[in-house]
Amino acid sequence: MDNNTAKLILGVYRASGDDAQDPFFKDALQHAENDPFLRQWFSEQLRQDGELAGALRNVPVPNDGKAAVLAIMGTRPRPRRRWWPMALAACFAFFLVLANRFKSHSGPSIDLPENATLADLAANLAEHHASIGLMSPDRLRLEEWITAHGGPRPEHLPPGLATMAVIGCQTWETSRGKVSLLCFVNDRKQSVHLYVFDHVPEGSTLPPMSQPRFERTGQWSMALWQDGGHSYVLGVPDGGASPKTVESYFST
Amino acid sequence: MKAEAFQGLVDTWYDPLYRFALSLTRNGDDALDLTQHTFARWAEKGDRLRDESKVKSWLFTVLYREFLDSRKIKQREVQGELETTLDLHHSTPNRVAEHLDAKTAMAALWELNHDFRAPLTLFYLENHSYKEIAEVLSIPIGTVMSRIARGKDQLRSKLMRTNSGTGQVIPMPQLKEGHHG
Repeated sequence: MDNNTAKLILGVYRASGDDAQDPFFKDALQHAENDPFLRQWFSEQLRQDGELAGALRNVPVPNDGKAAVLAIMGTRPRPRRRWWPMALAACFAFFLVLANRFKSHSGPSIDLPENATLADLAANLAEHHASIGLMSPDRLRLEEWITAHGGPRPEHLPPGLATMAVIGCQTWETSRGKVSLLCFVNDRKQSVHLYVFDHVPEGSTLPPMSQPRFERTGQWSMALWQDGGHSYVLGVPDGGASPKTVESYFST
Repeated sequence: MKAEAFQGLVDTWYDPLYRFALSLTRNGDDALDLTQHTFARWAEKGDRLRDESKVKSWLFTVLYREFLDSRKIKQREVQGELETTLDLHHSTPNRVAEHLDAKTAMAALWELNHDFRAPLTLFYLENHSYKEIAEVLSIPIGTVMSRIARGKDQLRSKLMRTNSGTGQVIPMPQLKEGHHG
């Protein structure tokens, strides 16, 4: 083995010493042991590798990113998968495809109940269609993403939301029109969902943002209002949240 | 996967994955997105992984593939999105790797071609072995060795050039104060 080959092999030898027992390095390590020039090169190489590894491990990591991942994905245990729900889902999907083939027009991606209230629709989306299209702590970026995907963009936010950490967004095409979601995390690390509906008939009956309607629907404490032609539903899941919590987002 | 187990996974791997993403994307926001997408993939498919010893490789592989996919879409490197600059001429020592800090190391790494940057970052971060690097990047072990050797040479020359007083300005992302992983 010449020095160049030995250097190539020793170049991937970890400064931590974890490769000491790996036979792949045995000959190269032996060669370095017997060659003073190579030994010095290897020693310097390990020192520099250790310095670089140490420096890179000190690159700061924003804490809000980790919190966002846990808030979105880590709050509820995932149910264990069984075969029969998958089979049922497959059958359902098969019949859905068959049904769609006989339709003359392409349907919306999510069917929502025609007679459901806005609060029911928001709870339905939260519980059955939970997903995030873009995760980012930058609200402007999220709003631009919503606009780019044709969703209704929130124009004005309650004072309590304007200062809250935002983590992601989504848009849906539904049988009740376009819907957008902005997802926030409050100081108790609870998810706070803001749904924006585009021009729904019920919207005209809602009060303005300054006097929202508070109600509890299913597992959600909610506030509803209208602004600029859009209907808004703000939802906080129960489990620590109370109507009072939701109300507090509207006080200045 | 139980919520506690998922939290443990995030606690263990978020920081190294973010740093790997940052070295690839050279942009803090894109690194956040990439790291989050990786955990989203885990939430979808992670429970199919039977061998727990493969979790590390699985996560880094997924992150790297997501990066390659996003790069295909964007068809661009993100140099234009770097948020601020730091003149290293006044802040670095006279020898390579002496008092080397995180900003200087990452800035020098960013100057490398992606082919060298990815294996070197994996090598330095989280102590990846040559076999793991080959698996994550889907390249032969011989290629890992040559890229790391050449990458190290380039990295050394970048750091020496910076230190030798050429006054080179190396762009850096804005690092948030008080957030340390």
